[in-house]
Amino acid sequence: MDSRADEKRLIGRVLEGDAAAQRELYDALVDRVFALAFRITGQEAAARDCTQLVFIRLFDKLGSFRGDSALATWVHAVAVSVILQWRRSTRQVRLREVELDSAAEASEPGSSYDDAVNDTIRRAIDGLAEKQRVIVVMHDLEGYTHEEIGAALGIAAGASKVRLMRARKKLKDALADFAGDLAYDH
Amino acid sequence: MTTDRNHEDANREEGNYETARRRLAELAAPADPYREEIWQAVGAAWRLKAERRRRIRTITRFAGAGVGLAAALVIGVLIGRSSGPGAGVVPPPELRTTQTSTLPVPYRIAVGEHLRDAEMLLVSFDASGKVDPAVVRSARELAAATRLLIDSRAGEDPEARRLLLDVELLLLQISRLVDSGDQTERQLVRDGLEESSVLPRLQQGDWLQGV
Repeated sequence: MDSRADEKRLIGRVLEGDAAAQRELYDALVDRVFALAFRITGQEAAARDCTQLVFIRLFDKLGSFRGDSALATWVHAVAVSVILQWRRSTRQVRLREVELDSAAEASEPGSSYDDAVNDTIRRAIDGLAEKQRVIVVMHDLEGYTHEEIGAALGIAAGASKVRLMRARKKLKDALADFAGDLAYDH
Repeated sequence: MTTDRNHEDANREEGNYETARRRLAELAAPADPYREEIWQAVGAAWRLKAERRRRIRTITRFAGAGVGLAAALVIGVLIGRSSGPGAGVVPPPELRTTQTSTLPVPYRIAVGEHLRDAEMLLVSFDASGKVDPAVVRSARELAAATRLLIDSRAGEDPEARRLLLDVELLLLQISRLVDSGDQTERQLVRDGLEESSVLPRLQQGDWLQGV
């Protein structure tokens, strides 16, 4: 999708029921939506359900897309809202903890240290306040800019930066036990 | 001296976090293993929604003033709830929806929205005194969409399937009506509405609950 005008045309065709346009829009957006859902929920199946829900809800909202921002940015805002709503309603935190416990038990010899580090930081991320967690996931793991995050969460880019800074402080504290060992990776 | 140590600690913390962050970021999300599976559900829902959008536009255009018929349909629904066929009728237990469907959310949304459209049409049909070509055309389109849903994963839910099959039958009957003045066919539809308790079941069911 080269320009806003192209996006608007594509959206018009999608709403009219043009199957090719619908597939084109889906293909253009699905990977990042799925990745974001996976990062936030921590489970493939949950990410699948969230992604489905995001795209189904998206159709109803497409008609109100005014083109003030890039379509992808706008979609990510819808996605974050739907994923967080879904997460709250299904209490995924507990499920995820169970999954992480199982994964830690099943980890292979030799990789247990890496798993422990990864699990520690994942748990630390899970333990953050929701808005901090989403910002960490979006910025530090998925590479969104503060402007994109601000647009998605309805906050200023500066507020996103401040929340990220506070979240990182907590995550650094959580990693203190691994300090000496992680230093070798630098 | 203390300041230097604090600075070193801060640098070490920063480095530790960056290492852990990089590791986690490299554990990329699986390469979309459900891409096609998700599309099956999304594509089906989008087709239905686009069809619904088109149908609503057709109906409102047919009404001339635009909002006239739409408003009439909405009022019809309200009247239907309070005084139409089945008003105040509590369906027998075996006809009530459990409201705890195990269908995946996308299908519940599709079924819920579809049944809402069907309810609007069935109420408006019963309230009107003659065969309305717009209603007949909408019934035909809704019947086709109903069949799509029955053949989809939504049809695997026994309760949804029963309701959709009953709705489909009524919609097909309405879609074949012609304005010949013969009341027999119309009476068959009315009888079907009464016997199947479709309207009370539609009004009681809440497929969008919790979505």
